[in-house]
Amino acid sequence: MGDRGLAGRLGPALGLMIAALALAFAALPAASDEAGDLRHVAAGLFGSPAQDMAVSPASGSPPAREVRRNARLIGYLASTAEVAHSVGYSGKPIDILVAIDPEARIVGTHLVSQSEPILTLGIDESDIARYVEGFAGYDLAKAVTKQGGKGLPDAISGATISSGVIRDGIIRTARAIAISRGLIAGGGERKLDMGHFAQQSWPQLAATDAIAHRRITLGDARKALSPDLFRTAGAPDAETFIELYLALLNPPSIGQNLLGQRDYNALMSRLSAGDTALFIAASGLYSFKGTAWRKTGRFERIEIIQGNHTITLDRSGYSNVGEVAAADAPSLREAGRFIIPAATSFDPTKPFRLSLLATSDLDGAGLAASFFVDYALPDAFLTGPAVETQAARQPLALWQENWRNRVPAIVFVSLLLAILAAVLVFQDWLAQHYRFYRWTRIGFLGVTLVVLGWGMGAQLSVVHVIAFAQALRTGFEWENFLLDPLIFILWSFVAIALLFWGRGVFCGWLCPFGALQELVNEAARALRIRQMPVPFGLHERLWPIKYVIFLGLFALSLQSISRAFVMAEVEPFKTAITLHFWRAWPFVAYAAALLAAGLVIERFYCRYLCPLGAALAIPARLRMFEWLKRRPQCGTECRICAARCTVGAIHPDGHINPNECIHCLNCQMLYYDTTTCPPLKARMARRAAHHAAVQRASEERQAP
Amino acid sequence: MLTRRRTLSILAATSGLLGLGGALPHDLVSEWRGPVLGAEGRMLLAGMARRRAREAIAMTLAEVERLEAVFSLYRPGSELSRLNAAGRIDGPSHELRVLIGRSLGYWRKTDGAFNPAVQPLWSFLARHFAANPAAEPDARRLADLVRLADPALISLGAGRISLAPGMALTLNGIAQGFITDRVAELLRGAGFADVLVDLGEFRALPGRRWTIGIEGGGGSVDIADCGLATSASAGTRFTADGRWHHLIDPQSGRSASGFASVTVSAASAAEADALATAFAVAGPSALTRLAQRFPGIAVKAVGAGVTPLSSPAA
Repeated sequence: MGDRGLAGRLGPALGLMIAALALAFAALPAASDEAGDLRHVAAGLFGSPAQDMAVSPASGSPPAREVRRNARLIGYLASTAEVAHSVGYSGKPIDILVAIDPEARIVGTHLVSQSEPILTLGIDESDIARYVEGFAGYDLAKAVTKQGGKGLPDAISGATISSGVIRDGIIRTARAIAISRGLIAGGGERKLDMGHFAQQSWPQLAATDAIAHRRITLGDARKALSPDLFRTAGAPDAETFIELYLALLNPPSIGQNLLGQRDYNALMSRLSAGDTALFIAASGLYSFKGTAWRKTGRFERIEIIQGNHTITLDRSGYSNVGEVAAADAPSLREAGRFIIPAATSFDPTKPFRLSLLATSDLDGAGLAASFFVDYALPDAFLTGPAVETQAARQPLALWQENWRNRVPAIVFVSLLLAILAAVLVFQDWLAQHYRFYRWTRIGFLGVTLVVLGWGMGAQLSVVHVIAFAQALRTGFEWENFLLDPLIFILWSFVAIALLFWGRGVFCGWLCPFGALQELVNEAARALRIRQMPVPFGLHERLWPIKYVIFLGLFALSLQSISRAFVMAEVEPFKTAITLHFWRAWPFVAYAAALLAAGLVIERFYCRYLCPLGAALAIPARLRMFEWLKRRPQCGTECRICAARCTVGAIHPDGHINPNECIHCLNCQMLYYDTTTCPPLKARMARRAAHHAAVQRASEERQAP
Repeated sequence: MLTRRRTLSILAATSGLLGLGGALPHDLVSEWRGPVLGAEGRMLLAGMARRRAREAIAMTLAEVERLEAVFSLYRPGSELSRLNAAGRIDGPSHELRVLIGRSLGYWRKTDGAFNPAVQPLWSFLARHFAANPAAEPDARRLADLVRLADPALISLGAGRISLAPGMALTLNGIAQGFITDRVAELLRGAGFADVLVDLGEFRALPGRRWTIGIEGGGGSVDIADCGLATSASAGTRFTADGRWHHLIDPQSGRSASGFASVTVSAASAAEADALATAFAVAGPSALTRLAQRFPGIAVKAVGAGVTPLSSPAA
């Protein structure tokens, strides 16, 4: 067959391929769904006409938009990207709006944007929509735990991991909103530790911030109020204007230590559920109590501030503290305990402030200034059963759950990799056992294709390389890459094998699409379909295509990773392996065209187009081992290996191009094949001749 | 109702972070947008983990909300509205007490140019011009209201504030600055060092120097560790010709006419706010005399025919 004829035939084949690819892209759905008018989204989710709806901007913590119908609050809209910080396999946020009603039910969900490679294309839009909508009606109050999430939709087939991220994001977002808006009791709500007592001195309590304190000097006060403050008393600026102490009395480890057992018990018996008691004490020139409270009943010099609430303190909850029980207490001018009733909705577990009002003259006229003492109850006083149940119920991180749920698959893949490692280590021995090795390889490829690929969907892809590079640039997080245990294990193995033997370990053994091509070609040969030899000059010039594709994808990913994911459809992997050819026809046509080319040119896709192969070939230059054996005659006297090479990786001069080699060991079998390898055959013949000569000579000698 | 078209913004970064420029990891930058003080607001916090930044944002918004419920004249239930309606309030919040006390201090120190008791004049003029935009207001009525605008009639006692009959207070000339200061201090307490709060008035913490553009052709000023406020007669106009506007001279009952705008920087945004209002009302003839009483301030006045001038401290 002439060169020109071949190029002529290859041209249309490539043209067909490009046409199929172009068709595939033409059939893409419109990129990402526009956020659209929130009001209309809300109207759709809550099932009301848009003109009656009002959606506030996101507010609160965690942020949510309040949805009102005719001014009545009918629910919340929250974004998974804002609340759960859902990050998909791509390392990019998955943004889904979740609508929650005041009864803590998910009324609906709306996909805003995602750039999951598996979902970007291929999965029917309606499948994603159906999956996402399947969360409607989920009752957060009944199924508080993630494990208890019965009635949730199954994963989108072919996109288990991404489905898991979506599910996790929706449920976590809905729960966070429902808890923070008080729709359900939060598993994460912390309670005061009321059951635990430890004897502690004043300095110990102060050291852990259980007693907060602030000293205001006379200088500070003069600056804020009047330079004449206490001037008549002759006090210097450095003197203490007031030194304030503030503590929460409810936890026994604070209250009982400060008040003593008797007074603490008396206080506790007075408190109703939800009441809080505070200890406020001071020394210095200024009194926080003042005298007016005896007439008005109000302590106007002190206020408690929490969030947007101001709580005033009055005589009804007040009692003087004569002596502090805790050891080593400072000398105090005044001390009191104040009860804050539950009705104020004061939350002792959250930070609060004491505001102290000071005036420039004693009758309360003139200038005034306020000073603050901040208080946040230390974690040590927050515990109790609520926290323990929360810890017990604490859902595992999504990646941990994925690993735990896939133990059998993980064990299987580990075994498979162990076998592959053994094949590589004992390659010389195997290459000498032709029949055994041949069936081992075909068996292995079959398992790679059927179990690893079609069964488990564990097909590595250039998408992973792009996502990894992106992560290195924008903030690498192991969690994203641990999401899929099989992909993670395979990549770890491939990364190591890359340094030892090069890209071939993956391409020749672990790539399900590679296995599919090789097995298809094997069948074609068995059916005596004539192979089309590609002259080396042309072959070599077609190699760079895959590098150009890879670099193009990489460059595109710097600009827009989701567009790069779309263009990564050059890989037929998703169509042929992950989605089992169950996909829109242009994709199937493209994959089928590649396989058809593979019937006559073995591993056509690997040779010329595969961007993943290109990506792996670049670092593979670092490889340590050169275990593929050659003879001096290779390339000069004989080119049988070059002709039999699966991917045409052997140059006419006999050297093996490691960038192209898929480590199938065909050349190694030939190396040891005494019936095929000419130098070996020649040597065997010489040895046989020598042997025969020796035998003849000895026979002659023995002859009488 | 005053409506501000400008986006109010709060920028805060932990110390030393600004040198990193755009290289900041995205999870250390938190942004919030939403309504604040009746306008569109934006907070950008850098250098703090998301969770803590969200807490700081929630804390800031809660404090602004709490202070609005004290000072706002647009909320009938606010403490100030209740004081105006009832003429007295028992057990005022610390903030109301502090701010009325400070207002009285500025009233005395500015020879009456800053006056929190002009509210009845203000509402009379607003109602009058809403009904008859072309007619001059009744001079006798104005004279009556000028007599009422006397802060000496405010009684600040222990645990009670009371007003003379017919009186009403406005803290609009200082409250915004006060809230601005409070937000900056809260953010400092939360661990931010480089802070610029713009809630209509500006407040910068000592961390770094910021350049602020002044509205209405006032150029720009650099501020660091201080407050900055601008009072412009064009802020709220009662009449189309701009002769009647919100800066009311409490001595005449008429709108002040000396400056198009006055910008003041002072130690706090509240002081800058109060003095900008006072200087704009007092006019060019009194500016130098009054400004000398406040060491450390800087003034930039844009005149209706008056050349810009500076205080001795500028």
